[in-house]
Amino acid sequence: MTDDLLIIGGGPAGMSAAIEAATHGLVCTIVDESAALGGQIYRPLAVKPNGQTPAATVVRGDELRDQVQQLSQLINIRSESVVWGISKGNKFAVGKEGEGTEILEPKLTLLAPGAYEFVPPFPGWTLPGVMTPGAAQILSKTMNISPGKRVLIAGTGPLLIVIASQLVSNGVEVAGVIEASRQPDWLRLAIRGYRSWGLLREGARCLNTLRKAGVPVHYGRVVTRAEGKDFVQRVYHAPVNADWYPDFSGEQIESVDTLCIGYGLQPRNYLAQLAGCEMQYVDARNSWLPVRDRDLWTSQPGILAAGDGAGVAGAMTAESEGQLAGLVAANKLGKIDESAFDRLRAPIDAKLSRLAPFQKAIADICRIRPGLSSLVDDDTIVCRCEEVTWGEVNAAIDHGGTTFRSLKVMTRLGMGMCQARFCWPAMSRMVASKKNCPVADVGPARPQAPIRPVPLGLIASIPKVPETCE
Amino acid sequence: MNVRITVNGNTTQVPRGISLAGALYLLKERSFRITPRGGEPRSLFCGMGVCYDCVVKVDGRANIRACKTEVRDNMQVLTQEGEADLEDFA
Repeated sequence: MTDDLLIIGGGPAGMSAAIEAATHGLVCTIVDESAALGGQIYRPLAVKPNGQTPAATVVRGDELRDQVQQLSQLINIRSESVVWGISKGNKFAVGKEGEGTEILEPKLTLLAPGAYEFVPPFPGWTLPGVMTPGAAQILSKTMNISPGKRVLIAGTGPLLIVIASQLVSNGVEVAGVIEASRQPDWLRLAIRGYRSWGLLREGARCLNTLRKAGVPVHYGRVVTRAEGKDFVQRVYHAPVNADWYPDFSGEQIESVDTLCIGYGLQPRNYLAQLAGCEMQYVDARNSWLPVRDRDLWTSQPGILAAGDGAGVAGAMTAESEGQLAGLVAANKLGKIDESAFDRLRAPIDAKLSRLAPFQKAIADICRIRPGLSSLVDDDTIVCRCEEVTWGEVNAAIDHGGTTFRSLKVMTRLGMGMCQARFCWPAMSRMVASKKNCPVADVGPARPQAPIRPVPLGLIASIPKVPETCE
Repeated sequence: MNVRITVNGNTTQVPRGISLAGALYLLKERSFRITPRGGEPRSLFCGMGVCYDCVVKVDGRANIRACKTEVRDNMQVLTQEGEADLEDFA
């Protein structure tokens, strides 16, 4: 049966969209890479915690999973599956290892792929024991496994103190939190409030946990390098100026066996690019985003985008956008008339406008400053997959390589398994700062199908080769 | 509650439901692979299937993301050294 709505990504946005759309009678399919719905933030527990109350995000994830389950006659879930290609006329290649690829031709599609962490390169960042805060959180929160004996948490963003306090609660020794932005900016956020008291209270609770455990939070500093033999043993951090350029004379050393480092989130924007959606660089979000109207339509007919993948704004915004997308789809397919649509969307719009100023303020505090591009030396690996160094890329830029494609051809940057998801967001900034031009001028990565490494068998299993798979 | 997995020849029990990356961390295997070009150790990095740094050989197949793979009974795991052989992709 043809789907009314294909939803790519089963996180807060995708689940909310499915629930709303199915409530109005739409037949939906959710495609998700994981075994269980939830995305990163609403991920279910892998191991039952011993007596502790589960985190609010786990509880909320369970609620949404239950609601999806109750609508299972209308919501089909394709788990452990990946959309690896999109061809003309909105045909989606959905692959599942061991089963093959199917081409889905839904009436409408919602892109809700979520986000991943931004980590700019610095000396020592490829050492085992250096990981994203998210990776440590998954180990600790969902599996009750400690990421290390003594952990330093660094980068920027509200997730740092949340994860630090979760680790402390799970009995992990946290050496400290290194936050690049300045403390007065965060205090101003608290004073203004923005009617987001729940989030502020959560932040205060985390800071209180850290204070009680004697974990220092250092503002206005960045990690400059990590050292160790076979795994991280020492981490250096230094104070930064307003543009986040470090003053190396103020370096301090921490002896730790784990460094969790992340500078906020990057949207997963490859599907939108592959679908041919018009993209724009949004400075305030440090990222390329699909252009959307107020109904969340992209420029590509029939394709909606919601959640962090369309602009990082957190789980609550993602849920509301997903709900709106489900409603928009139901209206488009004639399941609800205009007056019902207007009535039903009003509270969602109100919630989104209530959340927006707070999210905007946080994004502004955590905006990536140019100084982060100054941490590398010639030997620093900038493309983790292909082990390309800054020295090699720097030379290629000097020889005229200034776009994603030219640097890829000249150095193999971005040709590995992550398909430039980790190198290019940082490298495009470094090219821009070297060329003294806006990051937007350097351009996004150019994803091509398959946008994930998939076994050849999955591609060969397509029943009929589509017209183009660009 | 537990499953038996074999990592580099050593058979051991780990909790059911966790990821292979979690299991390797529990077993104090901090290096998941050695890179082909620089010969450097790599391990869990993004933890959510995006970076492909944590790839290992599972039941004879190379380049399997440890963070996206749930442990199964009798799973045979090898940490990877250098480039995977072509036959490992079969």
